[in-house]
Amino acid sequence: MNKTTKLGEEFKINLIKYSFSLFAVLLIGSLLIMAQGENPITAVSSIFVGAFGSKVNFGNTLHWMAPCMLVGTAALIAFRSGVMNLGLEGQIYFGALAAGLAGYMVELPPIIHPLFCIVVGGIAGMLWALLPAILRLFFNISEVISTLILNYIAILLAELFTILLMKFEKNMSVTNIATTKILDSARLLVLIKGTNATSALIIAAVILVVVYLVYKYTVVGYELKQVGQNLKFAKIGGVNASRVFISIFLISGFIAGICGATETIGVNYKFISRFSANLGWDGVMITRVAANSPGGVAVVSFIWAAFKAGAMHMERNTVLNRYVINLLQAIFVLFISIDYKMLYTNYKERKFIKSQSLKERD
Amino acid sequence: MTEYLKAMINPVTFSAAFRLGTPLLIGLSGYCFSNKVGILNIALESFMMISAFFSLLGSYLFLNQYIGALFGILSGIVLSIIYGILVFHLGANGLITGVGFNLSGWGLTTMLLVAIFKTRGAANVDASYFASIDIPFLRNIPFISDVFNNQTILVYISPMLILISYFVMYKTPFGLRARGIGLNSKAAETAGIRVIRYQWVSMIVSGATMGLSGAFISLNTIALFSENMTSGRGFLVLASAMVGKGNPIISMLVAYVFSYFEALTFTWSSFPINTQLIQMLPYVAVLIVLFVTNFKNIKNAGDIDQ
Amino acid sequence: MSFDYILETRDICKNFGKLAANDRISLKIKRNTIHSIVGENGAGKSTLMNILTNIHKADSGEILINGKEVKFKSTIDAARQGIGMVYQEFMLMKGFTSFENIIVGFEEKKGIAIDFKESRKKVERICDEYHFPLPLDTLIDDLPVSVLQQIEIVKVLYRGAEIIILDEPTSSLTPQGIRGLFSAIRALRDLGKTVLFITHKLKEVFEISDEISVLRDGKLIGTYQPSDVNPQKLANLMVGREVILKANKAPHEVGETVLKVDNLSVYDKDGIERVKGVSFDIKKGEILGIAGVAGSGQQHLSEALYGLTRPKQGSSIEFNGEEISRGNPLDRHKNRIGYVPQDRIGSGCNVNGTIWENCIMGYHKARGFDPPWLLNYKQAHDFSRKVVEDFDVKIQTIEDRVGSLSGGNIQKLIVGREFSQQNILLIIEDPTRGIDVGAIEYIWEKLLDFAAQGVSVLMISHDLNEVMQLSDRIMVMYDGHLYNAGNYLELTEEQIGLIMMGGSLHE
Repeated sequence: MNKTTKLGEEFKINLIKYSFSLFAVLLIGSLLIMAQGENPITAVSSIFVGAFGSKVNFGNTLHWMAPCMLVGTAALIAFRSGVMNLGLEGQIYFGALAAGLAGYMVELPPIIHPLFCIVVGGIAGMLWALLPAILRLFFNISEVISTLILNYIAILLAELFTILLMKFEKNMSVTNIATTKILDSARLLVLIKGTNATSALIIAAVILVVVYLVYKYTVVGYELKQVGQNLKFAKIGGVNASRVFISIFLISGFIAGICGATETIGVNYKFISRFSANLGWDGVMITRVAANSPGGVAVVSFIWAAFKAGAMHMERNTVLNRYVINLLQAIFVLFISIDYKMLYTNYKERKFIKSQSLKERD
Repeated sequence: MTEYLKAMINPVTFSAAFRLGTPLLIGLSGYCFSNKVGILNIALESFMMISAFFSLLGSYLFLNQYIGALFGILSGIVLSIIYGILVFHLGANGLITGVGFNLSGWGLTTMLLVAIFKTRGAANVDASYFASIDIPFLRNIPFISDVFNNQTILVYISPMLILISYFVMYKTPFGLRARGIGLNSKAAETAGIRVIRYQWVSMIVSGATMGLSGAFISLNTIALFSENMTSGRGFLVLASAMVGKGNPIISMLVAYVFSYFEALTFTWSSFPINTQLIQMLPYVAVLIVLFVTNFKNIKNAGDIDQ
Repeated sequence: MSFDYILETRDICKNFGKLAANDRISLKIKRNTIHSIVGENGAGKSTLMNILTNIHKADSGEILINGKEVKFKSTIDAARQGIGMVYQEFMLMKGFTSFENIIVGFEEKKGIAIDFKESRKKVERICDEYHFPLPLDTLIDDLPVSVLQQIEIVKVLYRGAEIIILDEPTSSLTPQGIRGLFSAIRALRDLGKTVLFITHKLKEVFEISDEISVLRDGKLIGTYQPSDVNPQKLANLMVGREVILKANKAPHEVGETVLKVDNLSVYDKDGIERVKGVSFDIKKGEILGIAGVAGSGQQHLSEALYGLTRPKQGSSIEFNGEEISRGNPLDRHKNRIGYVPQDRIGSGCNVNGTIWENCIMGYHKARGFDPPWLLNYKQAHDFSRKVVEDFDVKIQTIEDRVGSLSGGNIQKLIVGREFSQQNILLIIEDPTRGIDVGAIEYIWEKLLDFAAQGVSVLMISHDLNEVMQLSDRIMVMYDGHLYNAGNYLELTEEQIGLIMMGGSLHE
């Protein structure tokens, strides 16, 4: 009896959380759009058409869904266990570069070749994640600051490697820095012709399902959750916290690396410097909006992807530019991160006290 | 090799280090208080970026760099107030809020760049900026003149702001109490110190100073804004304060180490060494400084606490 | 005196949710007296004091000082009105000197700056007047507890306190330290201050009080003269039933050695030696109690015993003849050693987790599932239900969050978890700190039961009475060393207290 009311309350809070955040962002968005002299309805319908209007448009949405899901999963693993891996962006770059190199330097039969590229990309991302993990584990340097800084280094380092490998001029313009095109054998399978919706989506889905099953049904998943909620408790319970910490960092980096790899071998067919445009940060936002649940990551990734695909269309068909969407997504995350449960409890307490004092006056 | 070393001790490098230390110092003069009261604010990057944009806008609209700086300070304050409401009163997680802010900062500035200045990437606009000042009595001192003369007013006030910050931190009740909060906030409460009020003041002061440092970014000797222009300088402020444990003077010295490596970007750029490698230097310097100052922790290696 | 009462409360009420923590409390404190306020944990003492110092706001009621009603707007107002509080957990800032700790929040000012000279003069004057020779320029980090308490008292005097509230001030002091404190309290009274003494220790009440007020279930039961009541009666008033905390310990045989610790030394993170070459052993079915003032190295001892920190080279921990000092907590679980840490919320459980998630921690690897990597829900739930039933944990379903339980129930859950795994040895710290009498009795009974069945128990407690009531053998930890303090009922409380302070019985 009591349990159902409790669950109902949680549901109510979540409903408030998401609907209020959505409403607030719609309001702010409308104002922003109107300020730029555009009708919000036109903008929204333009996004909708861009995301779902045709087979090609829907394909674009699916294309974006794959990296969103991958990086969202990478972030999910880290944040659910309390590891502040803010270095996803850098890990994506290393994954993308390594996959790009594996795509043209190695000759392998199809199917095996893309898988090889993905594994190589994953390992590259993992190795880059090893650095902050070591700094934290051996020198107690907060991973927050180290990963933030390492992102900048990763982008420059990937660029530098590309320049050295391609023997480019020192003053090469940043926009032209890219590796050789990958071999056709290394390309991911295109699912919808004329779009970049590739088998990356299947890879992402498989990884997410595996992660879900691990959390739900294994002892390791149980330990990962407990470490995130109370580290000391888990340590006393016999969980090897250092091993868990480093594994989380590595797996998170591995999946971020895969995300970069799929972008290279599924979309750009080469490593392009500065291609990511804050994809790593999308991961942090997605898992936050999804409240660290694997199912949520799938749903939110779809929505995120639809906005990414729709934003381009909106930019072409209205006076607005696509950055409006980036801004609104970030603002949405700010509204989501408000602790509605705390506010709700405080509100109820205040109401209770008020009713008590009213009673006393009577 | 020798030309690299020569460039390292060239007055031009020191002059650039002195100049490039400015946004870090201005930011630190406020953020050190946040650090002491225990606020880890990764949104500093967005504070700096957004106020850099609005400084430019202010200066563009009024053709006055001081009004531009005022715009910067005000936008920094507004941002810090929003951050404070979310984190102090609405229970939002500071790190996630910081990520949201940084992405908003990127989205907002790129959006406005297109919407107002109709350009993508960078805007070199017709606005007034802070020009360098020739100080007569410095003019004839060798070396000193090369390093310290012909800087802008912002550069000169930055160490002064640090000194003020140091005085407030160690000689006034506000500073003593802020430091006390960092050591034991519950004990501070019982001493009649309203922790939340001190957090708020620190927050707003850091917003204002980050806003002023944003004005440096877009208005120092040239009026320019480009996408991601702050390129992690907000994080450098954070790292300096972390290493300096919120002591303004020590944090300033750390910041100058970072800005010195940034300065090499200029003096080494004509050499064959790759640009990317030079650009990496300040970030690598942060890691090295963190590494050196935390090396003593090796004896507790493998022990994870949160 | 113009007013008889320096402090008066009228009908103070305070509710937390549906719980009435203070229910119409009308208390009168005479000027220049030592007034004890006694009551069980949860009787409403802390709430009342928090209202007097404006940490909490009363829902209704009035506070009168010198016969005038006062309204506090901030914590600082209470201090301005002359109410100063010394908390049980010291409110000091490590990293500041004694001097900085005393003045912070109430600095003398010169313009916008602190007037260090004037502040200093004022502090020194107080130290002189009340005979507290404090090391003003020393960082407080390494000062002993008794000095920290003096700093706390000087701090409230510096703030101009006329009424000084001492909340359980004796809990971390030795009997000798307590005597020192009591003479300081009497000196404060003789110099014109009024002292409110909060405690639940009856003996101290009769030693120090001019008047005694009893709280129970949020209500004021009454105010008494020490001559009008005796300990038995006061205890009855406190608990409302005939209860005196005594364990009914039956003598029983102990078996062969289970744990043998030899020359164990432990360093803390800063490289300071906290446990200094201690040696002891525990036999089958034996309860070994370790008493000692807080911070004597107990925490480091238990952490090393449980494999959470690595002891110094040359230390030996033998369990059933096997050397285990290099092992980790998982090995301890597998060896069938259980651990109940002192910090219940911080390390004993996960308040955000469900009951069953909390129950299977440790069990999940050491006793395990089949196959070992698969979380078998049925097995996990069955084990959790058993713990909950056997240890009388009051819950609704095992999917409840642990954070929704009371302290006593959480402790029963933790103890139950460690006892339900057929452990051979149990390391248990402060098994009953801060929980209600019913839960204390229950846990004591369980401890004695299991020992009688042959489980060995190492109990580290800051409650000397608890150690004396339950232990077959008692040791005292002082400054990283362990000292023998006799078998059950061999030594008196005073004698053990002397050892706790580093004294010797043979001087």
